[in-house]
Amino acid sequence: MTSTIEGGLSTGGAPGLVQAPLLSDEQVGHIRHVDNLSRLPRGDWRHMAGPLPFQEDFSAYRYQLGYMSLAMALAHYHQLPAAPAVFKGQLDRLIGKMLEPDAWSYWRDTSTQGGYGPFTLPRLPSRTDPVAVDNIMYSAYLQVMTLMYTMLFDDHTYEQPGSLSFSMRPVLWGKDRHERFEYDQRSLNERIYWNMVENGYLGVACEPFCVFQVCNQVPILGFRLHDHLYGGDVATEVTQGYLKAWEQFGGGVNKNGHFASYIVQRNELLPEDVLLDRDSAWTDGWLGMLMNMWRPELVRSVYQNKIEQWLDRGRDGLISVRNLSRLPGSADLVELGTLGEIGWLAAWASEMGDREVADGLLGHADTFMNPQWENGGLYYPRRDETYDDAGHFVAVTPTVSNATFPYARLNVADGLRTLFERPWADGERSRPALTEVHQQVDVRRAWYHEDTRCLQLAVSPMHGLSSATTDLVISRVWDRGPWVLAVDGVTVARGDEGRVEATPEGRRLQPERVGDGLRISLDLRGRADVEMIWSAA
Amino acid sequence: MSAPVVPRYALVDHHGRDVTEQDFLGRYQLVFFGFTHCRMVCPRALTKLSTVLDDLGPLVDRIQPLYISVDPERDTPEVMRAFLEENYPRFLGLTGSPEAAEAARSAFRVYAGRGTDPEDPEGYAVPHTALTYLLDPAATYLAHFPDVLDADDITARIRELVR
Repeated sequence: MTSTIEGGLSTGGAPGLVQAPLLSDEQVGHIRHVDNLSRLPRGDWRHMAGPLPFQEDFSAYRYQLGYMSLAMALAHYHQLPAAPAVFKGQLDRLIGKMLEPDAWSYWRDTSTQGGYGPFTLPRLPSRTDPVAVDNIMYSAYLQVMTLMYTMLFDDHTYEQPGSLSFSMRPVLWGKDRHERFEYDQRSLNERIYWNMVENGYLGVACEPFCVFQVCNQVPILGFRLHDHLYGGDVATEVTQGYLKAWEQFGGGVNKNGHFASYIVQRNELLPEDVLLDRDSAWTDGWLGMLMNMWRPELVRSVYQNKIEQWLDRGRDGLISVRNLSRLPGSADLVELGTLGEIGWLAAWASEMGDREVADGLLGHADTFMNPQWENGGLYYPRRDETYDDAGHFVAVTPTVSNATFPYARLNVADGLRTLFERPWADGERSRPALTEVHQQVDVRRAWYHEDTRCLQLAVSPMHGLSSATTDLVISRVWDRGPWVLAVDGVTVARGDEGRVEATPEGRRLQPERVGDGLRISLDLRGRADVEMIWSAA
Repeated sequence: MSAPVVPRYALVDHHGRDVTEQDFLGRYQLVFFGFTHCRMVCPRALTKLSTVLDDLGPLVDRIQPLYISVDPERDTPEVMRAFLEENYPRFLGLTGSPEAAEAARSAFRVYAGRGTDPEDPEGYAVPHTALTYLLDPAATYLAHFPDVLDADDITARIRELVR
């Protein structure tokens, strides 16, 4: 059915209205799963607990929270840009979890160093403050999470002094003993910047003396977002310095054409900097997915030349991973957390726009890695064995299930690079958008088309439910001229700057103005397509 | 961006006099760290900063340009004086004991390493941060200028800051 209002404005298949693509069940399922995790009560880390203690491996909460946030930010930016209702609260809750001592208090022990891999390194005094010096493997993720939140939602919560606080107050320390460190997103950014300067732009160490390329891509995104929000050009300064600093280490690529992993910096026990440049799938995938932001030519070249080395192509387009790092003659891993390769490689492929590889890896996961649905969310239960009895790769780390698979499924070609180059500003944030929706409703489409002045939404009951009732609030809708609202092609309301008039078919939806938004109520038995169109300006 | 920098130093100038940041109270200090054997970064930066100082006009009288060595073992006061007076006469060179130079470097959060010099196998290079600092008349941090800024940008920033 097509309805028309004054000026020829119409809905329901009108010429020129291109439907934005719908998210798949799996894409929606990833968003729901992350949302479910974000809503768990304090201290409840179900589906996130990894196999190793001390938050030392790549399934540490900080990495999960950081990459869950990046995945959801990319999903908002590229897939559901007109649905802040889906992402704003979720990303805020993930920041809250990042500030929990469970996510950062490992630093009191890790900061003491003593050795890593083959190196004996100096012992240092214990430090509690997790962002003051080193520990870029935590601080940069928090930096980006908060700056991205401000960029996407124009919410300045984390500008407030003390809004990023780290409080250590164990009950058994007694009433007078307490450690607390207060920052905000700007002072945190400043700390990281000066740590970067002090290290000659080579990067900030994760654990003391160990400077990884992967984690030092994250602050580059942070500096870019900070420049965008507050002015300056620190990202250019740092990237130019980074290139110069890494020149003496082969430019960050080893002799075999893979990305170099990390540098152990000289210290009282190690006379020279040592570059660790062993070929590794996790470094290639992880660095590639991030560094494409600012070195796209290099990253694409490494991808084209090296990705096949890590892929094990099976039947029906399914792809697994191979050449994982292991101790000679042993099933033991050489390095902690290397079983996350399938996720890093899938995320890298997604950034490269290689859907054949990304979907092949995800297809392998859907076939052999036991996908599960819980409360509308899609996840892959943790599995510590590497291969099943039939020889299929089946290892699942929480980071893969919760972060890198969602990232790979929701990202688009050059997705992070685009966010890096064109972060949102007032123009994007002032468009009509869905700002409220019931928790048991999945949003599958949310686009505002500037050229046709049309907002397109598609909503459905949460995966696993046959029905749901929800209010939808569409905000930033006034002062744009006459409009018409349709549900499944039937006009249910029309109006102008301040007037809301329900059609006979639309009265049960109770359309009404609420603040800067329009509220309707929907009883969903399946997917509903909602369109709001404004007449030509 | 402000900075967690507390710019303190106790060094020797290229005339052999003991100096600290307190000796220049009442004047702005324009500070660059480097070493006289530097082949690229320092000559480029000192040339650029000399242009800035030329372009500032009368404001330059309120500014003390300083070049602090990150290579005190080779950069004696005499070496610093010869290098600067010949090439960059607006600058006063500061050097000192390795410990004093290290303390100054650390106070400004300047990076300085030590590496091989392919053009001088018997010698060494000292890769270092190429930031320029501006201290106010009370010798506290006011601003810093990254290497990516050109002379015009730095001149404009100093004009905004020096009052």
